[in-house]
Amino acid sequence: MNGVEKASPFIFYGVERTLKGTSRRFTIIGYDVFGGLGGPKNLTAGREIRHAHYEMVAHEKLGFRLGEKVPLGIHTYTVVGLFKNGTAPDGEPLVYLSLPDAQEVIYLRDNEEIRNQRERLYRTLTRPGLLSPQQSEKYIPQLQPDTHLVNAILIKLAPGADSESVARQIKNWLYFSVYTTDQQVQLMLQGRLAKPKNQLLLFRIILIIVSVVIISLVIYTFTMEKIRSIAVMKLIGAPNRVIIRLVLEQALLLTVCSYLFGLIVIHNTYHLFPRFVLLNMFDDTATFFVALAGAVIASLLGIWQALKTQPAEALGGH
Amino acid sequence: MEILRTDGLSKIFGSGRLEVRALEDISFSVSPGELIALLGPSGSGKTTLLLCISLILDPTVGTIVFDGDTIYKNGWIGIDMRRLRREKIGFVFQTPNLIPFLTVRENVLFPLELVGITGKAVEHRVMELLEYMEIADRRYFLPALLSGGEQQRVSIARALANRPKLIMADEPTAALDTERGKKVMSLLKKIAGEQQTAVIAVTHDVRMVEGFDRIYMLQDGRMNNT
Ligand SMILES: Nc1ncnc2c1ncn2[C@@H]1O[C@H](COP(=O)(O)OP(=O)(O)OP(=O)(O)O)[C@@H](O)[C@H]1O
Ligand SMILES: [Mg+2]
Repeated sequence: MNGVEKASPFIFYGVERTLKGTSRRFTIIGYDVFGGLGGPKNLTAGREIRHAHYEMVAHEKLGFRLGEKVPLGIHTYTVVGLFKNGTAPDGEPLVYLSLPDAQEVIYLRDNEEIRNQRERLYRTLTRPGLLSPQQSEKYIPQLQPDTHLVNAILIKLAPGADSESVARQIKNWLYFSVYTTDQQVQLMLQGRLAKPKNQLLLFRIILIIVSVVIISLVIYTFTMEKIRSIAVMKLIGAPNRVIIRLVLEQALLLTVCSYLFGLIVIHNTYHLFPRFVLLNMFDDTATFFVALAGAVIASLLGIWQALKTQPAEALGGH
Repeated sequence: MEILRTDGLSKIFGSGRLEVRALEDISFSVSPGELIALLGPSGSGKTTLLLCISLILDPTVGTIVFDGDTIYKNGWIGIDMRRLRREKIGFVFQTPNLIPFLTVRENVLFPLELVGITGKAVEHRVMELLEYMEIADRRYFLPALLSGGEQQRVSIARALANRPKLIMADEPTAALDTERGKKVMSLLKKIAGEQQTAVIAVTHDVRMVEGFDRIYMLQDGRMNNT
C-alpha cells in the first residue's frame, strides 16, 4: 500500500496469572521477533528475543532475573532480556513474547482447561435434538478459540508519507480502525487514563494550594522578623521596589529550593509507586512555573506587611 | 544660605480630648557645617520635630524650606520624600539600627546602591568611609559581632555615604557610656567641620553638647534658643 513501509502483526492482552506463587496482573505483547515492529526498546539487561519460541523479555518490576525459567500456560519460557521504561496503558508491567508464543499463552490456558472446555462443548453439542457425537467431534476444533488471532497490525510509514492519508486509505479499503501514534496517545489519555490523570491533577492543585499557604506563613514570619530593618531601609530612603524585592527574593529562593528538592526526590522514587508514573519534562516545567506564580502569591501577605511598615518605627529604643 | 528652615511649624496628634500639641510654632534654621543640638526632657517633642524635618511625619501647619525649596506649606509640596531622604539626609539613630543580615561593608554600601552609584567608585567610597570611622578592618563582619560603639560608627559611615547636606541624629549617644558617647559626638563635630554638613543631634544629656554651635531647648513642644 502507498505510504506504508512495513506492516507487522501484533497482539497485546492483559492477563492475570500466577507467577512465583502469587497472582500478578501484567500485559503480554506478542510481536514478530524477526524484524517486526513493536518489540521491546531500551533493554537494561540481556537481549531481545531471537528464537521463535520459549523466550521472553520482561519488565524489571516483575522481579525476574536473566535466565530465569518462567512457566506460563503450557510451556516454560526463559527470560532473555529485562527493561525498565514502558508500561501498558493501565500501568501494568509488560511481558514480550514471540507472536505464536503469545497467542498460545493468551488463548490456550493449559491442557486441563482445554480438556474441560472440550468436555463442556461436547456436552452442549450432544444434548438431545442437537448433534450426534460424531458430528460434535468434527465441529469441536472449529468451535474452540482460534489461536491465530492478532488484535492489531503495526504500521511504519514510508519516509515522507502522510499519516492521515494512509489512515484514510486503510479505513476505506480494509474497514479497519486506524489510529496514528498521536491518536493512540490521546485515546489513552482520554480513555483509560482520564480518571487517574484527573486525580493526579487534583492532587497537584491541592498540594500547590497547601504549599502556597505554608510559604505565605513562612514568608510572613520572615518579614515580621525583618520589620525593623525594613523600617530603617524606608527611613534612609529605600523605594518600595527595593522592599518588595527583598520579600520576593526570599519567597522565590524558598520555592526554587523546595522545587529542586521535590524534583530530586520524585525522580529517585517514582519507580517505587504502585503504578507506573510517567514523568515528563513539560509537566516538570509547568509545575515549576506554577510554583513560581504560587511563590509570588505567597509573598503578597509579607509584601503588604512590609509596605505598611512606617519608617518612624526605626526610631527610638528597641 | 541655610540648608533647613522652619517657620511656625506645629504638630498636633489626635483630636478632641485626645489632642496632644507635640510641637507649637517652631521656627529655627540650620546652615551648612553647623552643629546643632536639640535638648529637652522626655516628651518635650524632640523626636517629633526630627521626624517632621526629616520628611517622615506630616506636620499639622507651618513651613519647611529645605535646600532652597519650600517643600512644606500646610501640606507637602510635590516632592518625593524618600528620594530627598536618600539623596540629602543621613540618619544616625539611638541604636545603630544596622541591617543585621548584611555585613558592615554591605550596610555602608546600601545607601550608595539606592542612589545608583556602582562599580569601582562604590568600593572606594565605602573604604574611605570605614577608614574615616576607623572601622575598616571589620568590614566583612556581621553587625552582631561588633561592640555598640563600633556599630554606631558603622551607622555614621552609612549616614555619610551619600554626602548628605544634613545629618539627623536622634539620641546617638543614649546607648553608649559617657566616653564612647563623647567620641561619637566629636566624630559628628569633625564631620560638620570637614564636610560642611549640617548636623542636628537630639539628646537629653547636657554633657554631650559641649562644642556645639547652637543649642535649642524644647519644653512642652515650644522652643527657646540658648
Ligand atoms: N504617634 C503619636 N500619637 C500621639 N501622641 C504622640 C505620638 N508620638 C508622640 N506623641 C506625643 O507627643 C509628645 C512628644 O513626643 P516625642 O516622642 O517627640 O518626645 P521626645 O522629646 O522625643 O521624648 P523622649 O526624650 O522620651 O524620646 C509626647 O507627649 C508624646 O506622647
Ligand atoms: Mg524621642
